[in-house]
Amino acid sequence: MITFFTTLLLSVVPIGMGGLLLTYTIGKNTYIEIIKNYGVFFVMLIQWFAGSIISSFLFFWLYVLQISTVLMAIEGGALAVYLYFVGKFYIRYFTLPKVTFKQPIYIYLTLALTIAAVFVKIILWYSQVAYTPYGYSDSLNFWNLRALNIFYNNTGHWKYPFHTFTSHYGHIDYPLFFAGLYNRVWVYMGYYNPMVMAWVHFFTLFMGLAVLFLTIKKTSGILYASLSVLVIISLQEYFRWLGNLYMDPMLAVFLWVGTALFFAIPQYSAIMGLIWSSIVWIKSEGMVYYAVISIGYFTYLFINKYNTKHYFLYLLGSGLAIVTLLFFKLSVPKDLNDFVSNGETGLLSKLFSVERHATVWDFITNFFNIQSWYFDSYFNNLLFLLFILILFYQRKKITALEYPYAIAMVLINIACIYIMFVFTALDIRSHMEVAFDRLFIHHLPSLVLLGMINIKN
Amino acid sequence: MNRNLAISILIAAVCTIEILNSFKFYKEYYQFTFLYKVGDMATFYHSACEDIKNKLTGHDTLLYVSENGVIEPYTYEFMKFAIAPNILLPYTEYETYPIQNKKLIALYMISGNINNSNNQKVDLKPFKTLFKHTNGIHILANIK
Repeated sequence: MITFFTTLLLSVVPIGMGGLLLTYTIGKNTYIEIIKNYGVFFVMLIQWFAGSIISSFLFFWLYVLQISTVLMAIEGGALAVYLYFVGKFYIRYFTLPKVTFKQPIYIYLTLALTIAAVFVKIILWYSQVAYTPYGYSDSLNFWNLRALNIFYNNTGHWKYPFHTFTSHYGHIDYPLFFAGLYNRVWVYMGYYNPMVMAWVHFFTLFMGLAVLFLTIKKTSGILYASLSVLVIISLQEYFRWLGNLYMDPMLAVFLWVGTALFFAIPQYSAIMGLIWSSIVWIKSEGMVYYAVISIGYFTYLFINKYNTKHYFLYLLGSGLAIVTLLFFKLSVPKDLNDFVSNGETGLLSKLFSVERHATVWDFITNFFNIQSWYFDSYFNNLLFLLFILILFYQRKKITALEYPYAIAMVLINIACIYIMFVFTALDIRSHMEVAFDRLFIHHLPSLVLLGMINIKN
Repeated sequence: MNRNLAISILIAAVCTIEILNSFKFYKEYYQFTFLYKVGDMATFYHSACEDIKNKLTGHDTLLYVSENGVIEPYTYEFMKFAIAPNILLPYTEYETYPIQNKKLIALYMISGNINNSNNQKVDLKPFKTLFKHTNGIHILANIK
């Protein structure tokens, strides 16, 4: 319990940095306007995500400079300044939402069922992480092992934070977003505790669900907000990987938070850039998704005739992630860089290999084979399909951009997965067996959000 | 019937089935992990590999390798590097090896992913047989 509360307390601190960023980039009046429209909790959640992202990047850079303990002073100072501004300008707008019970009883029953489901899943999830606090397979071997080594080598040079042996086998160029978040807590605590990793994942998911709930509540009402959380909570595959401390469910959280903000505050390009670019630092797949999303966002800005400064602000918001990623990737020795070493193994011959295309296509068609969904663990997907069909039926007014966006997301996701596997440097079949189903986890929750948002009752 | 109500009932019903269904996974997980008497995996991975080795001086150290395992090279090599087993025992020979009353580290690398029913089921029998006869340090790594 001590670890839980310590991690919770330390996770709240970056809200100060997020708050300063938000108030600085969007201005005092707009900040107050968002609080009035979406409530103080929604704004705090945005600040939490923005602050956590900045924290993780800052940890990396301070680690490079071997002064990571300074982070505490920066975060604490930012929180103090933010609280000063809150006290001076914003405190009177920080009001609790008024709770009224004017809707039909079944809506509250659905909300109660969702809350109960969340509790059940938390208990099941905890029982899993308590048994295997170091994670499983890839998380044990790569991400968490890397984070642990960074902690132990905190005083050393950043280029050599890894065990001599693992550096040759452990995908050394994997991004370090969550390694940064774990490490800042360990550095503050002064000791290593594996449960910190589990709690960081837990808080991220919880905050993500809260963003999802509040965004959909605003546009579609409390019923659809509850149902969307219920659907995500019910995704079995998602929770299995969450309990294994994999990065895939976390990548999904940042994707859906970005998508939620796209519907809530699309005009604040710097924040959009910061949130969406963070995915490049969570998993390597994030780079592809970020590129796709950025093109989509620029298209949105263009269609809606936004000012040129929005494009620059988006790139400015993305700057921290892009610069960090480039520095990191270029610093990894060439032979240990997955992308470079993959690139050296005959791209053209892979591209024109009929057998490779047939193998990937085989997996994709199997995934969409409804029989395999029912009899396998992909019962999830049946649920998902059902849910999408209902929402297509339910929706009375289709806004201009939504469905093309949703459909494009699905197609682009499949295309990305297709391309990644065709070019994989590993044995294509065994790679697909271990990684294929996880790639769908990334986008399923975002699609739940797209389905539930802007329903006109 | 109210359309929203109908949708709520349908989604809530399917989600409830899904959540109840998920208990099955956790039940399997515990069946597997009741043997998961891991020491400190961090220690294992990091600085105290030497300690483990010292504790094992004079004892047999086994590295079990599953017969159906597609063991990724980094994992296998790392295990060999970290533990430096003096015996590499193939999975199929676990019953014939005299392991009774010996202090040992048993590493079992599974190829079946317990968390993904898309892959093959993990045979738990070897674990039960193995751990019934040992009283030493058990580090069981469920590493693919």
